Amino acid sequence: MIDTNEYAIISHGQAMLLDPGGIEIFPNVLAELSQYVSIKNIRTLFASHQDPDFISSLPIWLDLVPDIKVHCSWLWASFITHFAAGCKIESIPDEGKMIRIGELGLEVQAIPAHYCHSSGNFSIFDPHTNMLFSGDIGAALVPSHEHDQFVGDFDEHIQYMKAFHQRWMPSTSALRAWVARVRPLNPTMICPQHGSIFSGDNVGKLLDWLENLEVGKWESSKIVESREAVLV
Amino acid sequence: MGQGKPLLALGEILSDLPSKITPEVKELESWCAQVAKNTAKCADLGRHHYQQICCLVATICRYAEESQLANCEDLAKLDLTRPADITRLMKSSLFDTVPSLTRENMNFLANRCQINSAEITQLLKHSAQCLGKGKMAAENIKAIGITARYLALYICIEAAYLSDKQSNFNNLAKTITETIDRLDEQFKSMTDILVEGEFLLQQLTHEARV
Repeated sequence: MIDTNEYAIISHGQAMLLDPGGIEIFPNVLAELSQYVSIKNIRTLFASHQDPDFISSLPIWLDLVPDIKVHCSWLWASFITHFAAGCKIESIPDEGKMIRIGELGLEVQAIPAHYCHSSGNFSIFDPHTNMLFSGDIGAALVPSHEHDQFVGDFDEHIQYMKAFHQRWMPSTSALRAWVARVRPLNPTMICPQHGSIFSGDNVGKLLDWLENLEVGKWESSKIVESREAVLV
Repeated sequence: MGQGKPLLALGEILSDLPSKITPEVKELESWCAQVAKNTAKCADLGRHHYQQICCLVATICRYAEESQLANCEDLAKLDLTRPADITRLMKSSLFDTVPSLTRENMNFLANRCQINSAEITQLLKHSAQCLGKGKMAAENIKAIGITARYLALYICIEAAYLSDKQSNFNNLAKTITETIDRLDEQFKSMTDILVEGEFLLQQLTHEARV
């Protein structure tokens, strides 16, 4: 099961969950979050895209807080409801929008990140802390014994990111467009959903690296040519 | 003259049977569909309950001191599918060291678990009732089958008095009997499953009682 990072932003006593994670990690996520905010005050849930490692715990969160507002790309609204029938989704248009944390909290910005990797995808930028929650962008598959909360040596970290981005990100132009969109925001931290967080100089290094990376690559020396080969 | 009049009468009764079977089949279908719905809902609630209980236990393990954990033999016997046992867990001294916000959240969670557990119990009881009613519908269909079998027998008896075309009626009687035999087999499997389901549900609802 792929490791994931779960984030929450708490503002004026109300919380927004960003990609709250899969069903199997729900107990640990809630146990951790319970130290910081009342469950009743978890008012907003954001799904950057439709993957189950990000959002399959949705029905359990709705069981606890039935009127939680769920925000995701309009593209996936009718798909995500397969995780929780009857769930009301606040659709995010392709251009993005401002999302208020609960009823009392500050607003964060949903930044388009389409085709990075999902075709309906958003990052969240918190203009109050300049933190960017980038979903699968910047993700790394780091062995657990080497995992740190923050990226130390960026060059060493590339080995854990490269294959993931080359295979999962379908569009080089989309990735570069995202970088161009995000740079003017001057994020101080980029927080991906897998792997370590980028801070300080590593933020710029990540953006430079993403800007120069060719993605959407799959190469194989073997192509299945017959039904028999598939059955074997 | 007059030959075949009893056969006509039998034929009328026989042709009326499908209209008697159809509502019973619909009834059976409807009760089984309800059980399927309840089962799906229970599975969902059960999964939620399990994950929520895991959160409670994870929180206890995080905050309880080792000495407290070592002495919690009583708590190890708790069945956290039962609302009363969840209450006992929440009242235990293991929660004394939990910070107030976390404790408030765990109480909220425990309350949710109890509500889910109670709902599961209600759904199981309802399913048991549905299965009982489904069994009755199956018995009614079986009874109609028995009637059809007798009719087939009488058709054979009456057909013996005909001067010709006896074989047609004998074939008809044979077809009816074979159809009822097949249905009987299927209904036996169905009834066995219904009985097994009823027993299982009775066990589950007995276990869940406070």
